[in-house]
Amino acid sequence: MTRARILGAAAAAVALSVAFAGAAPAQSLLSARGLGLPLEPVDARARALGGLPLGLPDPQMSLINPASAVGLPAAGLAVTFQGDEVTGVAGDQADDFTTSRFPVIQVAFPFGERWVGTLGYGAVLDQNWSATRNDSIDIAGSRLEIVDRFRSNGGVARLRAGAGYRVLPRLDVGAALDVYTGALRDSVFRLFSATSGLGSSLTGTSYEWQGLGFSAGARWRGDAFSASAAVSGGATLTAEAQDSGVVSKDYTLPVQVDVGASARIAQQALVAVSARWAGWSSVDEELAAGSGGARDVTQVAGGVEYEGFRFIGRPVPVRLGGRMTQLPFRWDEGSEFVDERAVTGGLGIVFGGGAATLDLSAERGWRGGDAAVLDESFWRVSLSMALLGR
Amino acid sequence: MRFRFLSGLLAVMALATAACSDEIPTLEGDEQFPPGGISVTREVIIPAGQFFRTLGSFSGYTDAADAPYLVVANRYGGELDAHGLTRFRGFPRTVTYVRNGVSKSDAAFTYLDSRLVLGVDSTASAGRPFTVQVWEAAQRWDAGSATWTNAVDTTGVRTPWVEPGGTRGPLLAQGTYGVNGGDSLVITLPAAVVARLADTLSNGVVLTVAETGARLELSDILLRAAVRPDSAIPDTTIIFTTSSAGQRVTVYTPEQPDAPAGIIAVGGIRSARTLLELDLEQTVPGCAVGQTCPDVDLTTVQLNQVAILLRPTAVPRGFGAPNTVPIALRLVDEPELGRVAPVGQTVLDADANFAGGDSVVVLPVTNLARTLAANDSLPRTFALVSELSGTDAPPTFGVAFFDPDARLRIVYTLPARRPLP
Repeated sequence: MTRARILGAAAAAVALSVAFAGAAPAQSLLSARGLGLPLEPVDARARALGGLPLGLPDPQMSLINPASAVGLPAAGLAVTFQGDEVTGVAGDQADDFTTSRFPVIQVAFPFGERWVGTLGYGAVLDQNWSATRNDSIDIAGSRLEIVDRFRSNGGVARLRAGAGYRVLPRLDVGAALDVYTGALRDSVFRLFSATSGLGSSLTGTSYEWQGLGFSAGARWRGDAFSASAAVSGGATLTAEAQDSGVVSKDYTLPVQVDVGASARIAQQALVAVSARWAGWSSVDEELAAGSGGARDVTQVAGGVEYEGFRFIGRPVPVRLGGRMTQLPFRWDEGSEFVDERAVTGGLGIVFGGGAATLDLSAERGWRGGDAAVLDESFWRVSLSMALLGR
Repeated sequence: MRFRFLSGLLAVMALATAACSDEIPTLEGDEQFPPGGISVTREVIIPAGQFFRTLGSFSGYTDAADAPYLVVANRYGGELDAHGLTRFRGFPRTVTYVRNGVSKSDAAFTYLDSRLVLGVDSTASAGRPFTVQVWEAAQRWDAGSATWTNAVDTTGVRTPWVEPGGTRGPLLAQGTYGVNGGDSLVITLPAAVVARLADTLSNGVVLTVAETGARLELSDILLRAAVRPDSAIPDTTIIFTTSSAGQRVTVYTPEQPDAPAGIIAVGGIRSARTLLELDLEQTVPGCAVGQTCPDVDLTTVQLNQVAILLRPTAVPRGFGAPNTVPIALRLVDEPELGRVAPVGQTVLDADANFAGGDSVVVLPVTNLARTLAANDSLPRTFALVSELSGTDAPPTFGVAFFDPDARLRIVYTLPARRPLP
């Protein structure tokens, strides 16, 4: 496959991703709180390993570690599709909903013996949610039934352009520029009963998310052990007002540090773990009073991959994992911040000696609890496809 | 090959995404709305002096010959007298019937007692019965020009009635419309009367109502003529329906009143219309009730309803409309032409009607207000008319009068904007 075809396919995939990301509903009731629900731009293999963002020894496209793609033998494209089914309860609120989207798409272009360029697009914050209420108002001497709806549509996404370099035979480094994009549109509906003779009203407010950030990463690969680290930050995220009735606002995006490691514990078995710290408290002062604030968060994830199975002559790696994640925002000021727990599993199939891979993962997760007011459970299925042009 | 595989898988993913039933999580209750996320809806009433000016009322665009209905009245409202004149057409020359499976035609036949069916559209005598009388018309008349005083009033020919209101011959029949009368009144006509009406030289009938103060509007008149062919067995009866369409007219006195100065007149048998000038470019308070703030243009708010409210006023001479008067507002580009100013497109959001018991008439002009607020080069003059789509006939015999103190009701919703979190 030529690079031109890779580029064409990537462009189509990006278009799909952006198109469906724009309409993507929320994955949690927490999308209504703070700056929304942070999203993890990882593929189905990483999801099956507990949501492991980095730490694996082999070259792969990643929106976490710019050094991860070093060593890819040919240009490649990776696309992930994801679907969630969520059951949520928050105080007296209960809602079940489903979502689907393309959370991440990436391309990589090795050049020379040591270099690789990467381009990726992934979701960062989900801000899709709505509220509704029934009421009545006095108009023209009559009491009229009304329905009010508030709808927030949008989210923050990140376009990352990066480069990786093999400094030493076992050491890779990388750096990337992050361009934050996206939009947030508030729509406020007031609906009157058909018999009132009053037309419904719709007012809207739009913001565009803008910002630049930087990231860097490294990976060391031993014979049976590898370790990775990545850091990102430096971004000021600006909500640029698109109409005259509102004002723009800046938020300081957190510095995020990820470390991960993996070890081959048997010829066909791999164990991987990772940890993260993200300084979301940087936006605590910037959030409006009454929003509940923000905190620094950590995440621990890990999993096992076993490569001993084969199907019609092809390797079928099987994975199990789990994670504990702290989320930066909370339901309200009187509740505790929300934690997320998940157990994961999945499998993959490798074609053409690694030229193409399909990975499938399933997660069962829980967020919050009594003290957090929010109590959610979810099923998530991810399907990733990676293709190398060799 | 791999590229095809990639393309196929991408397509499958896209289809899977499109096929999934995405749902946005929805929270319920006031407390789930962000600050500033709930709309504020207000109502303001603008007095006539700020938006409404009457340029003049005109009538005479139609007359009784254009009306598809008949009105009969006896001193209704103390003044209005109206008689219905009608002739019947379509009586048979031969009668065809089937006897023992064989079709037969017979030019010799006998009329039997028949039924005159009056479609009753509205009455103004609710609560008491009244009597409709059918008289033989004793003088030739012209359906296109007959008036209360003239049987014929065409260019160059004017023939007065011997008896104003239609010269009457003998009383042919009468029927009583009960207190709870339905939508029709059936009067039996003797066979001899039907035979006379079937004569091509017949002048038809004059319909009147006997009781003083009564008024009746008839939507249709049919004569169901019963005949027996002479060659048929004695119990054979064949019914023919004869029509009065195009052969009927209402003659009445006095004439429909013109609107007094300043009064808004709409409709009636003479299709009154009133030219208006409207200024819908208003400003409204830009905050909730109880708060103080500057006014804002209509372009900056969401208009839920803009309506002109008209109060009806009494109509003299018995010309008040007991039934529903449809009202339309039409654009007028050249109001300076007055009575002959051409009227343009309708501008109401929906049909408006005035029924006799209404204390106010609501003319919905939300779309017009939006348009005028956005484009100040559009005409501001309009004609208030009564019309039914697809016909030039006057919708009602009675006319509606409205006070000039119109009000403009604006129901609007202020933009709701939440501050960012």
